[in-house]
Amino acid sequence: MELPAAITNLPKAPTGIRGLDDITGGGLPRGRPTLICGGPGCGKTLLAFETLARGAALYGEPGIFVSFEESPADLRINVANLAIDVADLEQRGLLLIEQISLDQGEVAEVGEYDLEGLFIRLGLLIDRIGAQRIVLDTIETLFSAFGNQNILRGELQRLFRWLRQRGLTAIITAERSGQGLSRFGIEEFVADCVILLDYRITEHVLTRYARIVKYRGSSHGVNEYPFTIGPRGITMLPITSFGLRYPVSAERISSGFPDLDQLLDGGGYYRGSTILVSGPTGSGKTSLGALFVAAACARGEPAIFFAFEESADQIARNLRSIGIDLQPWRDRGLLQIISSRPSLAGLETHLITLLEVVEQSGARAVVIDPITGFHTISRPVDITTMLFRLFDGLKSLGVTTLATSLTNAGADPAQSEVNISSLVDTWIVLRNHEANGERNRSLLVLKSRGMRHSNQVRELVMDANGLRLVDIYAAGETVLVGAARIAEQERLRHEYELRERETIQRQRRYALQQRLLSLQIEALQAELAALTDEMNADAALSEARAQAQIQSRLATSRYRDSTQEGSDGR
Amino acid sequence: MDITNQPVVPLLRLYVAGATSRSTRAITTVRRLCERYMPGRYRLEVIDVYQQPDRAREDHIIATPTLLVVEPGPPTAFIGELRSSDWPRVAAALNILTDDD
Repeated sequence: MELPAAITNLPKAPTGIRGLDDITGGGLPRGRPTLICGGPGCGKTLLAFETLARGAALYGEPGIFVSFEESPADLRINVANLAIDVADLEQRGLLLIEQISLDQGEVAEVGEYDLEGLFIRLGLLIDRIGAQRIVLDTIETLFSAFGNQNILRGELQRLFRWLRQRGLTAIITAERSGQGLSRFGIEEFVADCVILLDYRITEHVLTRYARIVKYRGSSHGVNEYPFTIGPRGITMLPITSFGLRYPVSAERISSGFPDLDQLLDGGGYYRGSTILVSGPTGSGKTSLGALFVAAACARGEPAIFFAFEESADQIARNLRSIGIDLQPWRDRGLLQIISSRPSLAGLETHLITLLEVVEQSGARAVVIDPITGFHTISRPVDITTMLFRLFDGLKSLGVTTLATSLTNAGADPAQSEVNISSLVDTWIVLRNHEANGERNRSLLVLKSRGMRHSNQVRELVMDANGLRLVDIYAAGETVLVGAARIAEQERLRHEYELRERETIQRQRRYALQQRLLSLQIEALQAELAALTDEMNADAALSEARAQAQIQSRLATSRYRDSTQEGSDGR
Repeated sequence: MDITNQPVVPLLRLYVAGATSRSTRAITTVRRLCERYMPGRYRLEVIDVYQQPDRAREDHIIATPTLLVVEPGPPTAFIGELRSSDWPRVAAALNILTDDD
């Protein structure tokens, strides 16, 4: 159901806590009380304090921290690592830390009373610095100091009304116990916004979660959001807050491997995209990652290589053996190799730390080698979620990320990564081929969004001179690599030469036959000419003879005529 | 001089919030109580939290009315309006034996 705009645009007070303002759509309800509940040690006090301190530091809203339990000195120590100058805020009258101690030694409750004394004292504090925000930490301490629950509930209800009337953005922290949200059902009074904090330990690793149970008049994220308490305070990672809103770049950057760039439409990866390189042990994943960061550094861009399996020096040494030297970039401070064991922290902690390091360093290229290292500490479904958020987070920072993924030998790499395949823009699959007593590698660009990439499997050759890709030979169903490829190449050359020689010989035979035939034709033509001559000669002779006969017959008859005339006609 | 023989003049502080009927009732009750147990031999300070919030802070007062028996020690706080049935408990905090028991 769509919320009316007027209600959706409820005024909000930003907490200044990374992620929390995304989840709440801008912060806590302004001028209203918010309840933060959770068990001991779940970060209630810190969350409340950070909201107050950041509100003062970032938004100039003066705030009061009222502690019913901890002394201001203890509190200052506990929040010392928030990267907030508490003393400075206090001096500038933006922050006031006040302990309201409830320790009165021997106490007896004898009759009707109210908490007017508390109201008066709070009112004076508020007026002193013109507070806009206030924290009451924790409400249970109040309950434990007094016996009459009926009076107390009535007075707390009055307190929350009073805080609202004064227009204070208030945070009340409450212990969680048992089934309900808070031990005394305080959430009934503070209906505007209720945030529940929790932590769980799986595989000896602690992960903190926050969930917005209720936010009256505002839409909000409904999931459990993991958070960490790190060197810069609380960082919450909204699962969907990035919401695919990152800018898309058409710029192409080199993979650091010219042969691979050729396969990728000649240009390399898209800037800001996510690349997955999957393959079994020793198939060249780390090398592709190293080439990528080295190329980034060569362009003058800071890069980070997160190594979850090997130490920084180990990686540097291994890469030197195939002609990749990362040391100059490390020396120049462009490349950081950060090595840590996956089991050292929870998944969420890794995720948040990683994003934080990347953001702070301004890195433009990041390698995570390998992402599968987390399988030892978490369930696959959690890892998929985490990777989704990690890639999303890096993308929103405009960082180009290359992640490697270890696949089991034998398993189809295209199958095993099906969960995250939709998250990556470019997917390169490396394979090992074992045959004829040797092992060789192949590379295939399985997909690459937004470009015409090669669909050819190439052999990946790695030696002291570096990496190169060579055309692969397929013999029927088998792909030939390494020595088998070379043997096949030789065989093919022999075959070719043989065919070449045969052709030449055949050509010669044909030419000979041609000449023979030509000669025969010449001879026959000569014969023909002779025959024609003979025929002509014969014809002429016959003619002559025939003429001669006619002549002679004429002559004979003329003689006979002349003799007959003389005797008869005179 | 033996310190145990030195009589301590009891010191009581009554915290109230403003001139409400509850405050007036509390003040009257405490005065009556003092006159009953220690006629003329006590010190009673009535403190309005509105007027002297710092005193309330020092004594960790947030509920009103609160009667603090400061001397003789140890200090004891009585929170709420005293009913007559509560008087012996205050007397006990003042180290006064009563014939009410």
